[in-house]
Order: sequence, then C-alpha cells, then structure tokens
Amino acid sequence: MASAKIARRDFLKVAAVTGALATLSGPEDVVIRTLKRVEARALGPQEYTVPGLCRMCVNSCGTFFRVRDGRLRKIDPNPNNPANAGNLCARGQAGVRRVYNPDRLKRPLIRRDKSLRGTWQGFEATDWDTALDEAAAVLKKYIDAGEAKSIMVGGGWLPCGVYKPYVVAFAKAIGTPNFVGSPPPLCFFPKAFAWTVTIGAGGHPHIRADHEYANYIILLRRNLAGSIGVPYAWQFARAKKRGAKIVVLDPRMSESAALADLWVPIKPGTDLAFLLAMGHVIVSEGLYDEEFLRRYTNAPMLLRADSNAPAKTWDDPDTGKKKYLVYDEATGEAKAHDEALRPALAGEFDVEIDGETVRVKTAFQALVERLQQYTPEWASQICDVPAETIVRVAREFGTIKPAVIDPGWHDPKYQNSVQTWRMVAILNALVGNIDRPGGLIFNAAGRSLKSSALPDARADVQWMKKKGIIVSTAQPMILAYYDAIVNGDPYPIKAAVLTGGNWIRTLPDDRKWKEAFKKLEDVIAIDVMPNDTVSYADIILPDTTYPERDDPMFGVGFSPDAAVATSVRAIDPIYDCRPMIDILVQLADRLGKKDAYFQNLGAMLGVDGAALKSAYESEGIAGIRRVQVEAKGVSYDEIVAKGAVVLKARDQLIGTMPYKKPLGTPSGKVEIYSLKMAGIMAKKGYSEHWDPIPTWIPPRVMDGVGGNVFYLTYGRSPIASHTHTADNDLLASIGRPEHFGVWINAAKAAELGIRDGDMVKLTSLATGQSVVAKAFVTDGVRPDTVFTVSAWGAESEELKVAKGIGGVALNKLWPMHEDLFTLLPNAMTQEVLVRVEKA
Amino acid sequence: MTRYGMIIDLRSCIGCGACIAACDMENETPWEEGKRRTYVPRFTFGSYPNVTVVYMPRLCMHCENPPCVSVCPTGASHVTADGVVLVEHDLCIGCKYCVVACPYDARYVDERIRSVDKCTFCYTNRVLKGEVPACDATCPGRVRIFGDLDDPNSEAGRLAASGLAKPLRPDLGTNPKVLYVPKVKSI
Repeated sequence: MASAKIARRDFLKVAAVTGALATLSGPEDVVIRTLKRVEARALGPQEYTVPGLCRMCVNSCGTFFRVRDGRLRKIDPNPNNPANAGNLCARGQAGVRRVYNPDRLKRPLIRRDKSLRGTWQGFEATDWDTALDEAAAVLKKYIDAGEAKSIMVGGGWLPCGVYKPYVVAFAKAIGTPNFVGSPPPLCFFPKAFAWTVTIGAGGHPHIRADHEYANYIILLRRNLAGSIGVPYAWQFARAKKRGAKIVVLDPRMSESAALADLWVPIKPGTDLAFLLAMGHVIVSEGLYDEEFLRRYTNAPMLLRADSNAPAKTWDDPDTGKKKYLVYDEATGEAKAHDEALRPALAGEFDVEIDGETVRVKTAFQALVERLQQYTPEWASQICDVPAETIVRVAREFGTIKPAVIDPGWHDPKYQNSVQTWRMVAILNALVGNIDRPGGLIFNAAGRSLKSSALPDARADVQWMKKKGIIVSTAQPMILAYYDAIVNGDPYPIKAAVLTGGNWIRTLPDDRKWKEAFKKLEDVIAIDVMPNDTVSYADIILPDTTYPERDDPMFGVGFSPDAAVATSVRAIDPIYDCRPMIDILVQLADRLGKKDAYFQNLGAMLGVDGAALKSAYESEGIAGIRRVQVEAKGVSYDEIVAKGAVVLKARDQLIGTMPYKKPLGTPSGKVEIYSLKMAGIMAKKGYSEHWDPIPTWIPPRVMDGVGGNVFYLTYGRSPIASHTHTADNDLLASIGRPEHFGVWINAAKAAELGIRDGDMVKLTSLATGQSVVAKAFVTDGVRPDTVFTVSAWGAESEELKVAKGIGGVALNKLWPMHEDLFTLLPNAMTQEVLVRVEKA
Repeated sequence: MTRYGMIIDLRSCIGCGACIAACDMENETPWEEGKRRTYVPRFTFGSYPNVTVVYMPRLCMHCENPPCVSVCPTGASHVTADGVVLVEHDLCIGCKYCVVACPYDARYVDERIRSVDKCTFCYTNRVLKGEVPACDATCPGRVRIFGDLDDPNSEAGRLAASGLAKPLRPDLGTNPKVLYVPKVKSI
C-alpha cells in the first residue's frame, strides 16, 4: 500500500532538480526560460507547506497545505496519516476554494428585526466585541432567570464528529444539558445499533470491511466509491485492481456498482430478503465456520424451545458480562458457557435448569429454523432478483476466503434497517471473518468504546420517557426538539446556539423546522457559510475555514491503525473571522464561565483543566494541542511537522477481538442471538423490530409504485459531501448531470415523455411538497425508482453557487413520520413515494 | 534514458474527479468546460439491467511522435529530452494549429496567458522537484501511475512492458506515452 507509493517517490528523487534540467531540449531561449521558472519555483522563499486535516467531510483526511506568497495554493494528501494514506478526493482538493469562496460569512452580523428570519434582510455588520457582548447578553438572560436549559446548543457533523468536546464543554459551562449534533436517527443509528448489539461497535468510525485484504466483497445501501470517504474508498478501489470480486446491491448503477463485477439492481428496501435467503443457503449447505460459531459467538446459547427466550442468563461479577447456558456434548448437561468442554452448536435438548426439566434449543438451531422459510425463490419474488443470483452470491460468499459484507455507513432509510444490518452482521459471523484480515474488522477507535447515558435533564430524554420510547438505546434525538420548541414539550426550548449544521435543509419536512426557527426567541449562529439555517439567526459569528486555524489534537478515526493527528494554521483568516473554539471561549469568558469551560474540557480530554486554560491563554488553540500531545507522550515537534503520528499499527490490533479481549456486547461474544434485543422484548413485548433473531420486515412502501409514481432513493456524489460543500465553484464545475439531477430509467422516461435534461417536478406523496430538478435519463437505474444526490436544494440566495445548481431539496420530500419513535429511532428517509411529472 | 509516461488503470477508476480538482488547483487552469488539462468522461454501455459504466481519464498523451509539435510554427510546442511535451507560453502565437492537430483533444487556449495550454505532467512544478504529478499524487483509486516507462523497476515501467497497458488510437502512429489498462470483469 503506502510503501509502494513511497518507493516510487524515492525513485523519482533520482530526477533531482539540477540533474533533470540538463535533459531539457528545444530552442535555447526556451530552455533558459524553463530553467528560470524551475529555479523560481524551487527556490521560492515565500513557499511553504504545513500539515493539516481536511474538513470537507467527517473523514478528516490528512493533508498538506501549500502556501505561496501568503495564499493557499494547493492541498496535497498527507501520507503520514494512516486513514487516507496519501490519497485525497476532489472535495479535499477543492478545500482551497472553500477558503477563497466569496460567498463566505466575512464579518459578525446582527439583525434586530426577528420577523426577517429566513431571509438575508436586516443584517448589520458589526465588530467582534459588539457581537460577542450581544450574544453573551442573550445567553445571560436565560442563565440569570434560571432557564439555562432552555438554550439548545446544536450543530451538524463538525460538533458531532470533530469538535464535540469543545462544544459540549461550552454547553455544560453555561448550564444546559441540551447539546445536539448530527441527529443519529437521521444519520447512522439503525445501522450502528444493529452492529453494536451484535459485535459491540457499529458507528462508521468504529468498524470497517477490510477491503485491503478481502477477496470477496458485498456492498449494500452504501456507495463507497462514489460517496468517497477516502479512508475506505482507496482500499475498495484497489481491491478491484488486486482481483477481489465485488458485488453491489443497489437500485442504481452507482460509482461502486460501476466498479463491481456484479451489479444487482435490487428493489429498494428489500436487501433484508436477499440477506435472509443468503443465510438460508449458507446454513442449508453447511458453508458456515462451525468452530468460530462455537467458540466466539453465542450461537450455542440455550433458548427455551417454546418462546425462543434465553433459557437462563446471569451476570458475571468478575467481567461484568452476561453468562448463559450451553449444552455440553461432553457430559450431556446444560452448563455455564465458559465451563462446557464442547458446547453443542445445533440441536434441541431436554435439560435440567434449577431443578426443572426444560425443552431447549441452541440459538443457532433457532436461527436455522427461522431461515428455513426464506428460500432464494421466496426472496426472488420480493427483491426482483433471480433466485440463481442469490444462490450464487451466497455460495461465493461462503467459499471464497476472506469474504466480507461491508458494514455500511448511513442508514436510517427503512423500517427494516435494523434487522437488515443485524443480518449483515450475522452473515459475516457465519463465515467467521470477525476481526480477521480481509474480514469485518475494528477501526482503532472502535476497540475501546465507552457508552454513557444521556443526562435525564435533557429535553429529548424526558420527551422519550414520556412517549415510552426505548431510552436505553437513545442517542441525542434532534427531532424531539421540534416539540420542545413549538409546543414546549417536555419543557420550552427558547434559544439556539448553532455551531455548524444546516437543520433547515437536512431535517425531515423543512416546513416544520422553519416554523420552529421562527418560534425561537433567540438564535445565534457560528458558521462559515451563509446557509439556509444561518438565515434564521439574529447574531452571526463567522467561523474560519480549516486552513485558517490551528486545531487541537484528535485521535484518527476511520483507520485500523491507532494514531493521533492535528492541523496547523496555514494562513491567517482572510476575512474578519475567528475559529469556533475561540468564539466559544470568548463567549464563556463574557459569562464568567471560562474556568468552567476549561474544567469541563479537561475532564472530557483527560487532561488538567487549569493547565489547558493557561496554555490556551499563552498560545491559543495550539496551547490546547500542546497539553494534549504531551499527555499522550508524543513529540510536539513531530506532530506539527508530520501532521499525524501512528501509535500502534493495525497488525498489532487485528485478531484480538473477541479472541483475546471480549466484545462490547452483553455476553462479550459475537451475538448471533441479541441479548440486548431480548431485553427490550422482555420489557416491551414482542416486536419484529427487536426480534433477537432476524426476521423479514417489508418496507412500508412496497405498493403504489407504477405509472408516474416511483420509489425515492438518494445518496452522495463524489463532488459533494453534504450541504456544507454544496457552495464550491470548483466542485460545481467538475460535476456532471448525474451529480446534480434526478436519475430516471430511460425506458420509463420515454413512456412519460421525459427527455434527458428536461426539468421535472417531484411531488412527495408523503408531504405533498414538490421540488423541480433536471432529469438525468439513464439505463443505470431501476424502472420503478428515481435517485438523487442529497447535497442540493439550497434556498439561501447568499449561496450563489449552490443556488445556481438547484437540485432536489430532499427534506421537502421526507415526512417526519408520526410514529417515528414507536420503533427504534429511525427517520425512514426512503419510505417515500414520489410522483414525477414534466415541469 | 528517462522516458516519462503514465499508466491509467481503468479497473480501479471510480470517477471521483479528484485528479481534475488536483490539476486545476496545482496548475491554476481556467477550470471551465473544455479548458482543463485533464477530464474524466463517463460512458454508459448497454441497456437496463445489462449496463456497464466506464470512467475514462483523459489528458495529453505525451506522444513520442507528437503532431502538435510538428505543426507548431514557432517552436513553442516542444519535447523535453525525457519525453514530456510542453508549450512555451511566450513563444505561442495562438494559431491553434496544434489544437486541431492533436487527435486526443488535449489542448485548449487559455486566454488569460494568451497561449495554448495542456497537461505538462506537472513537469516544472512537481516532477523536477522529485514529486509525482498532482493527479497521480491524489488519486484514491491508484488509477494514475506516473514514472519512467523505460525503468523496469518502476511500476509504470513494469505495466508498460507487461502489455496490459494499451495506447489510444495506435493506428495514428503517434506512439503515446500515456497507456490504458482496460476495465475487465472477473465474474
């Protein structure tokens, strides 16, 4: 991998500047002029590079910022960072144009007429002291009245995935428990929940398919190549070159499907049927790894034969893990799982439990029985995929080693999302690939996860308790805040401090969120771009772009190697902007909460708060970095020169869980049968959504498609991460119609009289709202499905590039499902049908 | 003798456009339609559901027998001894003979510098400093492999010698030093 690239670079160094110049040929004056240019470039005293971290998406790839004559010229990939390993995508390259984007917020703005929210009218430019004083006065009003908790500190992926401790420290310091980042039920929750109950980790920074060594890869509900995420995409693309076979289940020909050996244009929302049928083939043909299942999973766990409930579980006080009974084939008795000589994997038995004879079967037996009904022929009818294809993929997955099904990224798409990913996790476990090279492995960040409960004082926690939602699985629940703002339920949220994010353009049913943002008494926004949501602010505090600031130290996510990284300021802010951390500290200071801020921050970062404060006071954010780096035992000079330092390489980490170290599941094993879900079932009664053994759940919107009504699907494109990157002139110029438009099947478009490039109107049957966008007519999408990219639909006229692109505002088409929380939290963003007409 | 060239491995191209963005920033191109040093068209073959999509990175082929150089009346278009085709902007009179002569659509007029421009393999700004071209350096799919085609120890040289990598339009006799590994399916 990286070493090959470095070797090639070494070779190129042979062509050192002076030597190579001698090889120039052509008219003499041409040679001289070229020489001069080379000299100027090579010697240019005004050129330097510093290491940085990309902030065009959450992957935070390592970069080098190159500056010449005081201007950021180029961003190059940083091979020292193990996540992207010397690769960078178009968005990362286009970071230069984020800095020099004339649409940026350039100075603090204040607007006193709150009736103008949602527009750009009425703002007055001001200086930082005035803006910060006014913002502090707003917050002080609530704090003094004892109503600090009615302030919501919110944001998107930046405070969620990158700056969380820095924002949470502020929320805590001013006395509110209500911090909300990216909303998990709209982001990764259903997928992450399924993985977490099975192997103890499930967020996208925590687990990965080991594309680097896999020989057979199945990808579903994810477009790894097209949505990029360089830390994953570089290995995925190279797997293909290495000769790995790739199968992609997707209703449209995504960039990943284009790369694949087999594209399966599956009916939207039916992947679970495909997977269940794969499971059917694998267990009926004996293609599973018996030894792995017996030793490292709870497949031998005994269940009561009549109810499929665990026969008996109890706590192990030494490990804090659940113990369970298995049937020991050596003695013919039920025994604690860690005391049996040879636990039976399959079978039904009569055993004595606490003096009572009970009919039991193993969890594996229950799974086999469950899968019996899910034949490839059955799935074929549901998925619109030939049964032979399902059989072939199942056999290949069961026999080619190592094989892996990718763990996905974003999936709050269907009511069956949880069981879909449960089945993916179980299939991976059936072939015994967990934490083995080429299998389903943990990123360094996923090896030691701590879960902490949300404070009871939070508005969303109280709201969920009231509605009987399963709080034990809860993640911050942004959608509960709609009720809190608009209806004062469970208590009123009156003010918002936004630290990034674009809720007006990303949360289901934008009308509701516009209403909420008009209702708020005070809105303060810290952001780089004048996006749709910032237009609802009263006070705007402009953030810097990432090359204009120093960063603290971060653990590198998205990498199997354990590493730390930082970003060094390349240039001074080109406008009157300040880094968000400085803004938060300055606000806290004005509220007399600076000590509290650093105490909170120190507690979260695991360093001394007072030391942080004094280092910050002398060196700014770089001081925070210095304290962190020293606590980690890393050389400060090394990290600011290299940008990233590897602490432990992947080879020292892979193969440990669950082999040497228990997983974060209740039993510490891979849970074929989910004890967490069994616990929910015990409390709430049976639901197919938390059946501890996966079962088929159809998507809600199977019917009603035909004529001009389609399934709505969406994804990312390589030229846009999310609305955050939508306003970038370089990316816009690279984009093609397939990146901006609405994919419609060619034959179907002909039937409807729609030609490529025509404007079409999409009307959501769920919200009644319509959007107009350009048709991209293609053979690369199912006839019953339309597809579009999720970054577009900006309404803010200050985003001149994004507004010019137009495109679909998905959150006008997504409803806020009323029963969203009766299930596991899940926004069900593809449970939507749209009517398509020529505009 | 060094003979610089590039292998384009179509098997792992994901059409992400990183190369385009890297080139535009590195070389400060006009980055508008038709005025870029590299671009990546997408081709779709077949009809639903039997569809194949190919992303095809394009750039100057740095031909050993470059028609653009032979038609240039001023010597602005020239070849370095290590095989890189360049345009000396100060000598370009904007006659566009080369734009027409190039069978690979690699050249355009950059009005800002009043000259024809094209891919240089980042010769003066990167290669002579021991770096690879910006497109190669950034490519997440490791599609672009720059190097000395005559060096059997380089990846580019090995691929060139293997016969896996093929020129575009060999019938024209231009003898390109940019070679393509075609996309194949293994199932």
